[in-house]
Amino acid sequence: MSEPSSSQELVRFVLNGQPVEVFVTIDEPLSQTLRRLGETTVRESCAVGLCGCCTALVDGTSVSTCLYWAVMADGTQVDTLDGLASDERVTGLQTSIAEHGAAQCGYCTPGMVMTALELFDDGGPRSSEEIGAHMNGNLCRCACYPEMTCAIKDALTQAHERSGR
Amino acid sequence: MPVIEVGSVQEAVEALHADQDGRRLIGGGTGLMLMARSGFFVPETLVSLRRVDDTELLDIRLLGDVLRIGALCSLRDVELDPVVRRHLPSLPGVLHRVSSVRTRNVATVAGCIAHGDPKMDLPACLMALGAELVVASTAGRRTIPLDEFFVGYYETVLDSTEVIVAVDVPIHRPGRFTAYRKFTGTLVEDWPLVSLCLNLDELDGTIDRAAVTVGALGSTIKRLPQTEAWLRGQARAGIDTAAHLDELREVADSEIEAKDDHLASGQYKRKVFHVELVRAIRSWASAQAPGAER
Amino acid sequence: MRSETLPQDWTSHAWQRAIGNVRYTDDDIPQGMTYVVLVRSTIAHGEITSIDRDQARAVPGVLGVFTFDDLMTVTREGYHGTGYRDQPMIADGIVRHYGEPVVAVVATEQRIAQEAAQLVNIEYRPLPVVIADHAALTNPHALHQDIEPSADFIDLKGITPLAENPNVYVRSILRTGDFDEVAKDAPHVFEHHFSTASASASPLETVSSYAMPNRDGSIEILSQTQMPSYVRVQLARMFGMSESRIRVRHVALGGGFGFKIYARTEPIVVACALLIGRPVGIKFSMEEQFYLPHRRGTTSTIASAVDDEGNILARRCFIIWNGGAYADVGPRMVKKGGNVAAGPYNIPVVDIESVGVYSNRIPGGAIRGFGIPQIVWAYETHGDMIASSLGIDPVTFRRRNLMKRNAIHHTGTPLGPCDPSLVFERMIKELESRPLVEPDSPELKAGRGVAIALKAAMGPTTSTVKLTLNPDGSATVHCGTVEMGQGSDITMAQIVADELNLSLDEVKVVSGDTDSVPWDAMTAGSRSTNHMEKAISRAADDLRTQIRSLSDSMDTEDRIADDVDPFKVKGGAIEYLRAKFGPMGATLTGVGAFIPDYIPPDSDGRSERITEFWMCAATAVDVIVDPLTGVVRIDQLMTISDVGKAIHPELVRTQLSGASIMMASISMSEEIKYDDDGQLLNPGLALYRIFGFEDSPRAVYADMVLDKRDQVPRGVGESGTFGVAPAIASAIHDAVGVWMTDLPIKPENVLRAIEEAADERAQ
Repeated sequence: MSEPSSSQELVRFVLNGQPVEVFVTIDEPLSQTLRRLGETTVRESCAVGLCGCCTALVDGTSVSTCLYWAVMADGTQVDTLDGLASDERVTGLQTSIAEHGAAQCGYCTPGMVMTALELFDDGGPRSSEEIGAHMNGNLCRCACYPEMTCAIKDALTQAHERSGR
Repeated sequence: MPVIEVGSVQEAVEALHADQDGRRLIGGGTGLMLMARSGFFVPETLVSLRRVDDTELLDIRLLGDVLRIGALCSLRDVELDPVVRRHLPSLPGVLHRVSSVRTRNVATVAGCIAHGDPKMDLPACLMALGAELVVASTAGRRTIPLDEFFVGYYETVLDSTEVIVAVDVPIHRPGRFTAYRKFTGTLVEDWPLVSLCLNLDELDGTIDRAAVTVGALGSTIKRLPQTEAWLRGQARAGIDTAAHLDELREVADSEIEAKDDHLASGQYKRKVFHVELVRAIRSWASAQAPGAER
Repeated sequence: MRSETLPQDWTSHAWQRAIGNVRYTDDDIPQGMTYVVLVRSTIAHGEITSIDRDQARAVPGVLGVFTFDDLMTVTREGYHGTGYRDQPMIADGIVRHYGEPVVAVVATEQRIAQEAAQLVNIEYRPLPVVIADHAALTNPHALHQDIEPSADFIDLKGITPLAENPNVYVRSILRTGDFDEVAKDAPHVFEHHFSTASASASPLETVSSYAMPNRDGSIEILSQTQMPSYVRVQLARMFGMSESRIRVRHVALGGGFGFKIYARTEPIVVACALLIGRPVGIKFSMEEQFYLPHRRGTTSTIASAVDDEGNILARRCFIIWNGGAYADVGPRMVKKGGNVAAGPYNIPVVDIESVGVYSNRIPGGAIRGFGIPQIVWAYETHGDMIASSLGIDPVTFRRRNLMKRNAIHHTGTPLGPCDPSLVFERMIKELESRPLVEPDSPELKAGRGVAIALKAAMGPTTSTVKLTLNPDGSATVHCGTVEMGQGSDITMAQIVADELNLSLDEVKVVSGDTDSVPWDAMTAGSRSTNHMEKAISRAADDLRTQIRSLSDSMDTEDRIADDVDPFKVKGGAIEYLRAKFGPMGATLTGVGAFIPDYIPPDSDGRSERITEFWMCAATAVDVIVDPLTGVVRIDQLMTISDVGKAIHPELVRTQLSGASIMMASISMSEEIKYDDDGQLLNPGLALYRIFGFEDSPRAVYADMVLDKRDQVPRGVGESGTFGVAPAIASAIHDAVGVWMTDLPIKPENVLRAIEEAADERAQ
């Protein structure tokens, strides 16, 4: 892993529950920092924040890491898919995605899961329209949209039932 | 040192004042990162208000008949806030349709306005609602009505040493109707080709006050004073007769500019604008009770 | 990674991706990688008069700033291309399209290479720029001189540009009679014109390739490619090396769609790596990816002579394929597209001329559908327009003319089990139970349209496979099909499991390494399941033969009876391995190769065996149109295809569905825009917009026709694309009474058509 050549800033944050320290250039997007740190589920694709492949959580909210200044991640908690592997929302979504065949090439899938997490916050099932509006910043060129909408809907319904609300 | 994390607004304006060329204030940073990645501009130093303990920047507070929204509130904060829902009921719906949830999680109210992009939804709405910016600099504070804020394509009256602290938005009152229309063409979520915001105060079945803004068409978001003048005094009943709408079309047409570009012809944009304007007015005319929101 | 919960069925494909358990090419970049960044031309056509590299070379960390001549010091043949070797690795003295690579800057980091690339200064003497289809056809200046045919593919043997117009790099004819003769006596003759725009496959995983030279002079390549075997052969040819000393590796792709084919990026990284003696890689940004070959635009004219009942008596088609600066796979598309340009209809006389032309656009490549969507756009919309003019219902019109299974196609090749008529009827039946949506607002109008289309598999291409029986009776198959989301790994595993009577978790699929995986022509053109199933079957037969021979050589009463399949008896085969080779047994490897029979077309374009199999699909679309703005939204999108045997029906449905939505996006929203100087106006996803969740139709349906007589898997990956565009056009006409003839379908054009129609009615 080579260090960037221009002037560097030391950034400290918590990544998937573990503290990390890394040198970044001033204009380095967080997506590139995370990839240098081995986070392969964070993927740069459109590089303009509208495909969702680079999604990670910063202090609990989903962000497009390709447009997030790495220097601004200092002192934050960053979570990627690997860090949330035992999160019930995540495992529920993953099972539902498998059952519905909602992933083909899979490049966009981690980003889909990370963005969908917020839908679980206030409990309760959602309509296809609500899911679509929430996920409108996640592109899938394989066009798994119908399957993914069903997968998210089912995962939400099951989470709602589990919570007994 | 690439990032200066200031402790107060005062420190921020002083830091910006000290080096006006290389330093840039950063909000959510998405707009700035897009510029940096396209090689357009890479700042030497970012001035970040992230660690500022000042609730002024992060709060949403009712001050009389105005809602003061802190500059660093994310668009998502504003979208979900119950105080906003109560006092500016049209805003959450507009914000819900801005870009994607991830963008809204990070983009700040101030950043979104200061960018000066005529295609943005929030400033177009806020201008029609009569919003004013509270701005700080080394010279003190001033208030800038949003009407006067945009002067050109990505150009605002904001100095590079000034910091937006909050946005004051007049709150909803009985008789007020606000409708924001965003025409995106083929895709549901896209930059608007045409956007407009209609903000009407109704009294005894007629329009007492009107504010109409148009975005995306010209180089800046702007008000349409002649259209507003035409609307004043119009009665709800019969406003959408063919004769009235022809008149309205002529008046509004003279106030907008619509250029050909690779997205669409100016002629098409004009047609769409008129369709959206009429639909906005009809949505008011057919609202069940005065003040019903879109 | 939670292997105890790993499903052992078709769902494991999506499961692996959902848990992030798939590693893509850029996740494991080999050690010591350096990067090449390409300096691209800023004009669409010109002679390179000077290249100033001094400033770039001086940047710390820069390892080389190379022109074509520099690369040629380590290259034997610098030109490549599917049909013609007309494309240099990077520009050779002349640039022929905007963004053509001219200089290769190699540095220790991509960032440094990018900075240095900005410092390279190139001067050009501009040459005339030709962008539009007709202008390209009538361009008096030849864009290429004396191009050499590649002679790599059997179906492209003998192609040659038109002597009288060398900008026509291929002209393909299919003629079964004289159109004019029939037309002059026909009750009706209709002629219509259509066009399609350039579009990009735009996979989300952007292209990358890495070349690692070894000290012994051999070289290893890790590349995003749908064609590792082909890449190896081409690199061997270009660099004068033995194929045994070139290793091409790949992993799963984040989308292929025909974008990651042929050898377009590998030669550059190999040449640079050989020059500097270190690993060199290239990674494209999304924006830069738009300068790679993409779907070519077309202009076409189609005419039909028809009787009063709507029987099509003769059809003439003329298609111009705007191939861009280099022919790439154009010659194949021109021929194959031309072959099916008359549609799946019984027409006694067809007269088809299909031409590919050079222009100063970015080269046209392949994209899912391979030219068929452009062709179907013309013939299905044309058919609907005819039906409408004659006052015949479009369903009846099709019923009157549609081919059935075993029909003889215009090319002379029988359709075999492919049955357009059956598929169409299934769709009509399905539609009966699906009422057209009522729009929310009275201002909006709803409409429905249907289309039916046909494609021939490319041919002939070869698939070979190595099938190994492991000592414990499980199996490993070395199969060159590239997993790019279509589920090929699990499909091949299922085929082997079925063949050898194993469960899915007893089969390992190995792909991705030309050192161990035998030849496969390519993962493209919907050929893989069909060809690999046959190759696997032959490999399994080879194993059976070997087991038999083992059993024959044993002095045992347990010899296998001649009519018994050793694999039908669980654990039966390994008994013989253990008897021969000891308690631990041994592996046993069988090989199988399949290449279809093929008869090249005669001078009229006719052949009794032009393809191994046909694919057909019906598409139905419900739209909602806003007549005041011309905005069209798709409410319902349905696809039915006959796929022969479906190995995993669930995966087949997602392929049909995904392809149909992708094509809906291309038909409605996607267009690569050029200005008059040939400059690209909208590279990148901010400006080139593709469908998201909310654009995807409210209801999407996909299904297949399964016929017990038809137990051979036929293509699946592309069928969903064929008829989407004309079904949309037909639905728009149903809704608002106007015909759209140019793709993409834009609101402004719909509105203009509505207004013009209203004006006409007023007069």
